[in-house]
Amino acid sequence: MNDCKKFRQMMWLSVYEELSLNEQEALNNHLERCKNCQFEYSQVKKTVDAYYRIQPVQASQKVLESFRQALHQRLLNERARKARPSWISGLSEILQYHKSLVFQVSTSMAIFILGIFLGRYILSDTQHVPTEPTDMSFKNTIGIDYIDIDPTTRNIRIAYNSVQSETIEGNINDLPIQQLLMETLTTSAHPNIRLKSVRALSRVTSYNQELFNSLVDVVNNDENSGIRLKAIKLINSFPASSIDTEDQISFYVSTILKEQNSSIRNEAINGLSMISNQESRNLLTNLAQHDDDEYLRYKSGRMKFQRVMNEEENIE
Amino acid sequence: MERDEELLIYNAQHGNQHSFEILVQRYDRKILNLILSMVDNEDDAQDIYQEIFIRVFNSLNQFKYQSQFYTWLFRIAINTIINHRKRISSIRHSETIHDGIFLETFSSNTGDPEKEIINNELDSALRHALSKLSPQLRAVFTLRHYDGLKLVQIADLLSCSEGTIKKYLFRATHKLQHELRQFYED
Repeated sequence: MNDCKKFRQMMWLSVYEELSLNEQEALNNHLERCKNCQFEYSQVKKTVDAYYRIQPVQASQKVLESFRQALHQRLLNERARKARPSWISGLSEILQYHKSLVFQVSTSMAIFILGIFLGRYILSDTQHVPTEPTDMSFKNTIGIDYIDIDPTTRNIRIAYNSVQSETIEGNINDLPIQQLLMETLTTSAHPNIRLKSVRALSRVTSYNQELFNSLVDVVNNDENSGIRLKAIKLINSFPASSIDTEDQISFYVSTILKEQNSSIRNEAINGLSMISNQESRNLLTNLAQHDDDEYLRYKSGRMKFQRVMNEEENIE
Repeated sequence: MERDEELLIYNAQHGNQHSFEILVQRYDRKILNLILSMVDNEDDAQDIYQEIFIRVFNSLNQFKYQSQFYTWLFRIAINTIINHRKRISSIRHSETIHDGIFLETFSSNTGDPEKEIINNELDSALRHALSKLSPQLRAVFTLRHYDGLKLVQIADLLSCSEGTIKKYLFRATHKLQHELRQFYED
């Protein structure tokens, strides 16, 4: 039986005349002895005869011509492709042969961009055009990104973070703008932003008690002496009539007594000297005698002397 | 190799598209018939036809005149067909058998109407059975049966040993015999 299995393959090769003379002779000898293989061999011959009855397919002339025409066009494109720089041809080849990949990538990118667009412009409350300083609430303010003020027009633009980034634009005399800056003075962790807030507020032309209180708070509590100095200078620039005199005297005296920085105490003395009443004169006399700083003692005494002289001149 | 063919190849290698197209037209009928004996779909046939000749066009400079041009072309063709069929068969099974408009099939005219009908049925059954073979088995059967190539030549074309080709041919014919037994069993 093992022989039969071996000769079965040889039968096919015999029909296709692919056996060597020795192999053919061995097959013939086996077939003479084996009835089963004789039957199998006859079946193989019939099968192959059946194959040969079928003529090979042939393309029609019309189809061949249409194929040639299409190939001609393709060859023209191929020559043009070869003439292009290699990276362009490489890219176009990728686009041509990996259309599905290109489609997937471009679709993913389109969805990604659409998602950003929807999130940013449609579903978000974010205002990319600066808002007017009306009807504003800064309760959720997290921090200020930048403050940009035009000193001549006093127009100001402030970018701040609330739930999302926001930008407000208006004039420094607008109350909401001032409120935001005053909020920043006490909440911002960045000295530069606090300093810019004070500078921006120095452009205010309409002073009020609320602004004074905020600046007092800065002078009393801000850890940065530069900001404290800027704040007290701003307070000194307020018209005397705009702020309650008692509040001013109290602030200046408190500052002169508590402030470590002599420049700030100096500003406090300047501010106090501008308030012309008996109380301020008495205070200046006392401070002139007790301040650690020699210059301040001298300055206070000089201011007191100057004022006394002025009053005597007025009496005469 | 004929002198004019060498000249055509030389010109084509130096960018003369007209020479290349003359070369194509010398052999493309044989190549197309080979394609048609291996695939069952007109669109696939056109894709393969173009792919073969574009490959030849792009790699013509690699032809070193060490073999007949037709042999070199035929090797590219058969490998392209097999690869294409592998690609296609992973996507879909062959759906259609060639229609009569597309092809000129010359079944032997016996003059006997009954035999004509049987031959047509056999023709259709054989093509259906062939479509079930793997690309390699079908290639070996087609090259041996329709193109009359010896097994050693097929082995050279497909870069296989002769023993492998013998096994392929045996497997192909054995499967076809099983599919077509109703036609040859008495």
